[in-house]
Amino acid sequence: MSSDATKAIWTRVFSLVEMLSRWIVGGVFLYAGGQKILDPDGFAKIIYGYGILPGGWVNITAIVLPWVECIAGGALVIGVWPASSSGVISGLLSFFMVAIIYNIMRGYTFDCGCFGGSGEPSGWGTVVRDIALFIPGAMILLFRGKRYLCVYTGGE
Amino acid sequence: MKYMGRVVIRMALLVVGAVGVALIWNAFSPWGIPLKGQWDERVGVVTPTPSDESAGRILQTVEAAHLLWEEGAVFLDARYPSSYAQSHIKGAVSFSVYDFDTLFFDFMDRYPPETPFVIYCSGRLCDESHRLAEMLTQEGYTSLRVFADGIPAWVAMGLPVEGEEGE
Repeated sequence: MSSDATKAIWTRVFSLVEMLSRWIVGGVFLYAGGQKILDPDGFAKIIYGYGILPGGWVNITAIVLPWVECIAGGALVIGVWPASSSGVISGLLSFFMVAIIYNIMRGYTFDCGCFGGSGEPSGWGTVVRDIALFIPGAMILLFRGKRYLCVYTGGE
Repeated sequence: MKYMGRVVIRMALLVVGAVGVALIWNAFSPWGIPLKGQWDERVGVVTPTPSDESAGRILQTVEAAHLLWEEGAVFLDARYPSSYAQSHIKGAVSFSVYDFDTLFFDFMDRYPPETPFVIYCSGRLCDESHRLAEMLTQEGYTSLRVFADGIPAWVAMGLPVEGEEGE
């Protein structure tokens, strides 16, 4: 096989991986955000439980954060501004990781609230899942090849 | 560099757009919450949705609750019956908010609407006591107080409890 043909195959593989990553990461955030939008009261209590934000910021975060997740996730799924959406998602994931690791360090194991009030305690498993989402997220952000099935073809 | 600059601008637009949608949604959604909650434990029970009318019935100190206990107010334990069975304030009646519909008819027969009640759960982060107070208010009960610190503070003060876990 010529090296050009090999290269063409790999280009397609990368494009497919990029597309699947968009769907998976976007889908997870769409779902996670949706759960929280339906229960801002419960999500506010979870944010308070993290013990990181000052009281004045708790409610507004519970109102806004789920919509950031949903809009960025939805944009990834349909392929609008994919790099920017994954940039927002990677930023959120970094922030979540710092918050969770900080709480593990000081011995807090509160409901992680990742998908609304699930009762699932935060722990290293949550951090691993965040990393597992962060890697494809960063890949989508940095990808410069052809993106399949995107409504907005510009990429950024 | 130009490309990444456009990415950053679009990221900002996504966030700003989400903030706008979120605020509009919150204003019209039946699940909407106030922009500011009550998250200061020194003030009282922490809640995303503080209301003026419910604030008045909250007992902020163990002493205030103890005084009413000595005066013979009926203490209602709003938690699950299993929690009540383990340990509860001495003399308290189990009225789990989760079984409200099945328990209420017997309750209504036993206690007239003006009976003085003190409702508690397991501290300032639980909301069973507040929900029960709200439900009983709607059923016409008029003398309801919520003991904000609940059973942990009561135990910490060495006040009498009973249940499977012993005195």
